Amino acid sequence: METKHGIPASPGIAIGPALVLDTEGVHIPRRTVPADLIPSELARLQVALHQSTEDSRRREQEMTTRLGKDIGKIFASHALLLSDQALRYDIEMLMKAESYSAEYAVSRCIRSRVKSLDDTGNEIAQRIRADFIDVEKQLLHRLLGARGDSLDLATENVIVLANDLTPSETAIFNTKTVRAFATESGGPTSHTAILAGALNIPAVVGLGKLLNDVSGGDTVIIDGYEGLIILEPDEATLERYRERLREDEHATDRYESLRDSEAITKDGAVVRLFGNIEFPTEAKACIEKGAGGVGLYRTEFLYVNKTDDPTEDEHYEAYREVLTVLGPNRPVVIRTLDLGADKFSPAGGAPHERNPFLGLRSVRLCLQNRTLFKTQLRAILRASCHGDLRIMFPMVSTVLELRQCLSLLREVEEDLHEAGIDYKPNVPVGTMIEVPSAAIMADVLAKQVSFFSLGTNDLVQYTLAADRNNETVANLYSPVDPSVLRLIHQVAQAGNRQGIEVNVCGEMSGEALYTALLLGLGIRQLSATPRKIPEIKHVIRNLTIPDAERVATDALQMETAREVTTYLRGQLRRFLPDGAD
Amino acid sequence: MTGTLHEPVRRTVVVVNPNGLHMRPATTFAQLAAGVTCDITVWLGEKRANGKSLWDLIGLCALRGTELTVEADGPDAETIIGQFVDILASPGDPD
Repeated sequence: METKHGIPASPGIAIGPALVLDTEGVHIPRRTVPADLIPSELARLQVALHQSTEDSRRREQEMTTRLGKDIGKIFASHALLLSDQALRYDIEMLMKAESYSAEYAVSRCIRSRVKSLDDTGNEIAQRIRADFIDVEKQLLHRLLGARGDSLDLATENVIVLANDLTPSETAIFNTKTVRAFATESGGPTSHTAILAGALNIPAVVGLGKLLNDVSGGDTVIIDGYEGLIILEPDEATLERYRERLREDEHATDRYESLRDSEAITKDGAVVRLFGNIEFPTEAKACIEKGAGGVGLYRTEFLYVNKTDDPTEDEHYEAYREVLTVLGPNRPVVIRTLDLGADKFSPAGGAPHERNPFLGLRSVRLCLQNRTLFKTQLRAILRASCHGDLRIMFPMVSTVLELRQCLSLLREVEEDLHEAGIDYKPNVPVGTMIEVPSAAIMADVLAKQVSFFSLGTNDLVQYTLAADRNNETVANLYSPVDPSVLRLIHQVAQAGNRQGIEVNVCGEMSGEALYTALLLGLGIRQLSATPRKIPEIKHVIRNLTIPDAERVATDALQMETAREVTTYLRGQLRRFLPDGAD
Repeated sequence: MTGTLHEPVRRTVVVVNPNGLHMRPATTFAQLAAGVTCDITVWLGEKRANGKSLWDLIGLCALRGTELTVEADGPDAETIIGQFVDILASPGDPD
């Protein structure tokens, strides 16, 4: 048994067979086979080499006829590579010496040739590299059959292990068969991690070297609460985790029954519970989990992994899709581009910065790239005809910035009006409060907008000047540090005095531990990852506003984050004697 | 015992194809080599490639201007070596 520590990216427990993805996205199910199976592996290899050679020869003929000799010759080359006796000999030797499976030996042999190419580094090497990889893939596909095709065809319940996953790879996961994933690289705010949360599957990232220690099919445990992967678990550990899995499932069932109940306190105060989404496909999950709308629709996915900036129509379609799913009565808050710093877009061309979190990100980047910003605003306004749309600007740090955003929005409205293009006039506009300067100036900002949304993740990191992903200072990072509580309180009061809605959309709003505190501070709207909504609703339904206000009053008088956390744990046990923690 | 006493035949050639010894000429070379009884070897300095293996040949990554030595070892080495030299010395891609 071996336990490895990584970064918890999405909570939950999963136990199951490992599916190891190599860096090229082809799934090699087993690295080694028992020695007595080697003869049959060698036979599989021979068949695969023969078949893929034949495939290439057939393609050579087809292509020569269709496109001419030059193109046909590419496949003649592949056929030669695939029928090469030295290659076959090398693969067979590896299998016999190391008990490698045919797939793994193929991959090792070809990769070592790719590596020697890379080492020479000249231009021919770069051109033929792709042919080597192509040949490897052809062989692997012949060996694996349909299993090798892609992740969404995985039919068993598996735990995906990889060096890293791109968001698009994660997006095609079939959550019916992929139970969890763990990666060697990546951080907690990477898009992959955020998407795992949205897909409602446990995930651990940043585990460091991992893939060499595990073979496809090995049983592994993912603990998404603590950020652990346990390889070859012993029976006692397995039993302990099976028990926790049962508890989790029980809790989920209990809260699922609340889906259609209102988020209302025992004394009748209504709380609006919204969902945070990253991709249009998650809109459905919001409704399934009983969300009253989308409180935060992140739009960065439109820019990430793209070579060009998205067109106005691409924006428009992504927004219209969500509005259509949510219907006319559920608000959808679209946050304008929040790229920069951690979320680098190749198309946006963000320059290298020494201190990106204090640099040109988010609305600052938009205000300096007006074409890009206006494209998005036009698409948002056009989409407004399809439902209850609201616009939200992120990372606003001064009143002037907010005014610039608002005047740009008016310009775009006028353009649309003049062009005779439909949009809904007077779409509600809000600003995120996630920079301490904005929180302090909340009373002034409140006069300019129809709602606030507290982005607690950034607010905490900027207030305490601490990056929670930096383990040497992560202890400073707490959403209930008294300094942060005072800011949240101040923002809630400023909003309530001006009569505008104040939402909390950071991770804090999805934690049951903080629900009473937030209500007590004057918050009546929470937006969380859809998965968390039933549990938060359960907490709300067990509270009264005087209970919550007492919690907030007590917490505001405390001096340290630790005191507040301990106090909140005790209070939660009081409100929920049946034990949610 | 094949019992012949012939020395391997060697020829030196400079790659003039602007793309170097890339996939297409190497494929032609390997296809031709596969059809002869001689052993065909190509040397780039100390680096040795089996002329019948495309992996080996393109693995040389021989750019334009590289000097290569072709070696044919077998009974008709003297008669066949010219074809191999021609491929490497060809300024364009052979068919």
